[in-house]
Amino acid sequence: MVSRLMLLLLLAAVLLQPHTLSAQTAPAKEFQIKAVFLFHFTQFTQWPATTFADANAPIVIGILGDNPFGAFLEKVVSGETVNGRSIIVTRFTQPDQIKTCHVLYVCRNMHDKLSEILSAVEKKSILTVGDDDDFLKKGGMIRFALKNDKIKVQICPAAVKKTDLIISAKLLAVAEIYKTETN
Amino acid sequence: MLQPLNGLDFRHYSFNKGNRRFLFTNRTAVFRTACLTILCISGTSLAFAQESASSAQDLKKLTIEQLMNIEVTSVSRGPEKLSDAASAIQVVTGTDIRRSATTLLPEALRLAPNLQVAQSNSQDWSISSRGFSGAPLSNSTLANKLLVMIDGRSVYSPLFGGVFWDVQNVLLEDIDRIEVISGPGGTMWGANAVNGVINIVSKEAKETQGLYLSETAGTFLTDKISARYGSKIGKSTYYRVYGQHLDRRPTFKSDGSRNTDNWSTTLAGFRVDHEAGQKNKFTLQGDFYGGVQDSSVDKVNGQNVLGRWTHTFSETSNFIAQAYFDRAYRNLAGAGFRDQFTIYDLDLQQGFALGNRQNVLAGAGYRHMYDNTIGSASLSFVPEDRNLELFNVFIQDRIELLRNKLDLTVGTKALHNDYTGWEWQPSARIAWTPSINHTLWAAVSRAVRTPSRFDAEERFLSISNVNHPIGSEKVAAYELGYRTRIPRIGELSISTFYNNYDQLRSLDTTGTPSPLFRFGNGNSASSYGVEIAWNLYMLDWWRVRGGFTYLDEDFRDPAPPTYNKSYLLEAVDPKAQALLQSIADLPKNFQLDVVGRYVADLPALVTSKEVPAYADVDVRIAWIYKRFTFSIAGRNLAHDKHLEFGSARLPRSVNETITYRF
Repeated sequence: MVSRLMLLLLLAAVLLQPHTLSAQTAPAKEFQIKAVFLFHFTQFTQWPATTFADANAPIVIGILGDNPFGAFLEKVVSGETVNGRSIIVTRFTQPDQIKTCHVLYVCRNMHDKLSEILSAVEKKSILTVGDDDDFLKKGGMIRFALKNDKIKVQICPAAVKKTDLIISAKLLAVAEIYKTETN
Repeated sequence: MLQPLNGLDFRHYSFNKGNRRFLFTNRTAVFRTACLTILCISGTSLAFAQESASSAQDLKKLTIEQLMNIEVTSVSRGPEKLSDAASAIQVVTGTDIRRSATTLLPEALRLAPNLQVAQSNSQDWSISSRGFSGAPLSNSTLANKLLVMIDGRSVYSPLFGGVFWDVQNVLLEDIDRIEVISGPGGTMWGANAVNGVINIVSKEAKETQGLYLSETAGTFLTDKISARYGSKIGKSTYYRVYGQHLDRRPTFKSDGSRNTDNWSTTLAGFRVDHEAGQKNKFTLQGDFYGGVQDSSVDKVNGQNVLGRWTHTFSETSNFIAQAYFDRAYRNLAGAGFRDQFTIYDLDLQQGFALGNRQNVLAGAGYRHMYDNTIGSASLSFVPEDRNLELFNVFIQDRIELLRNKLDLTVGTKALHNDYTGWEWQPSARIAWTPSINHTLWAAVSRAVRTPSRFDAEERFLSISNVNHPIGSEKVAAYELGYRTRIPRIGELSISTFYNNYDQLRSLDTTGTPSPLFRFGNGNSASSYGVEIAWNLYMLDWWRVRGGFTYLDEDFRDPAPPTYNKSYLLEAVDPKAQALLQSIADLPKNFQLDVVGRYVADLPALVTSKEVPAYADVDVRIAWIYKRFTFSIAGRNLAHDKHLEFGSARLPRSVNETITYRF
């Protein structure tokens, strides 16, 4: 009996070991799909021309917080163009590092700073995307919600309307529309 | 009593940057084996890494709608504050259940590493946490220290304080999650939550839209057919209806012949959710079941209907009102005993913020129960028919001592029951979260188990308590735990406890020949133990969860007239157990899921022999083709027949399942 227990413990030990392997592999499927969504959002959004330095300036996707995508997001957007613009990815670890970007993905570890982040970018024509449960409530535009183990896109049109952004009706048609309490 | 509650919503994982080191020391032989295994694993992982490199291109070809229909393992589901899970809580998700060979709710509870689950015959299980699994009786087990709820409805029977697991069936497909809190939960949840709380939460109707059909055929579970349909009425009302039928074959005796515990059960139910604006949510749900057991001699049936209204005042303030009706009928014709328990329950709960550092949760509840029994020579109740009332109020305050770092939660519940009057269940809990990925917590609580009818009014074999009052069982529990999130890998938790039990149920000699015994409160005990649990995302396609528990129970020698071996009726527990679940997505839409478990030996009893320690394994292989899932599952594969509790032997079994989801 003791030998069986040892065997189980050994198995547990072995299973606990190979964490180093996963570092090099792709992110979880959830974030692979979210990365592809972020790419699609650039196709379904119109930014005012003033947000770009020139006609060839790239669309910038900013990731704030941890980077759950690994290098996968770069892989998704590399070689893609939207209206003649290429797409680049930049990363910010803290809210005060946020510079020019067109899409801002706010990671979950920013939960406690959410209100601060969202009010800072409110009028800047930045498409804000996040996972946090309170993301739309606190003024975000698009939230990834997990329902039935599937990713649902929720959009708050009221937050988009405060800026000069235009989100395509095609995207609005398939997304869940979130209404704020005031309207 | 209501679900789900602020702060008890279990928080899973979010992917964070940080220290990825994990300490684990190995000695030479172990190390060599480990290295070899890792080599094998890394070989396959390379193959998968290459495969996922091309999937960026493949995923981009999909439309937004198609992307929204891909099933993902929910690594970041739920709110993310670790300090809110500062208790010995473990969660079994719907995915964990679907990715196992499980076919029934009690079997799904085996996936909670902090529960002891042992099958005592074809349709009954002994389920407990931190010991006190009771002794096996012919038709049921005596485990009585858990509070079990299905969508906010308490399902332990006030007849004996335990759960009739044969009638707690739900459609596993529609389970969102099962939260298992080991340790006392009396402050928040109520009586009976002495050693733990099981909270079974089904999905909202919105999340179960469409058609689900599933059939299973096999060697022990001979057949199981399930169907569910969910749809929408108007803009904001969602509903689902479901039905299920299953048949199980009998277990085996030690001589290899069959017992007569074959079992059939049929159930059906519904759930309707209506949202009136952002502020009001209404739920109405119900279940109806009937079953036959023991060569179709024993019959059970029941109905329940529950309504809930949730009103949100603001982000920090809400109000919940819930009412339900529950009727459970049991005709044990073989034993000549009949019971019908009817329960009406009303609960109110209000949450609000007090200043900007305190969150208060307060509530009140009333339960009216009517029990109607017809006794036999071996088991009867005096009086046969009984009205019982239970009233409770509770208040709990969560105080943020240091913003995002230190939380103190204090509270108490006061409840009034017909046998012992007022009982108090206070608790204090402190959670220190030095960084977002680490929480250290400690708790002190007191909980009681108020007498059931079986303790207070039974005439059972040579035991009778008629005209002899019995008191509540009491526990003082001290807990210390640590929970960490390992960035990109998963979560690990360790809980330790020391419990001091007083006035435990005992068998006391009466000094007369008839009755020879009555129940008293003459036993006392202490217990300590450790619970370790993990849920690790090893690779993109591979997840491993599991746990290990160690338990030591020490009953103090009772004074006369307590019978000195009577503790054996209360605690027949394994000292150690281990669980390991591996969930792997293989290429070409195949899934390979394995559950291994080890349970240490159980002591011999007057009524049953020692149960030897055992390790067993379940395997499920599935293939997904469009809207179909085909699977083959083997349960208890390591042994031809094995014993878990009492004397019924469970066979190795195999079954196939075909599922259609539209």
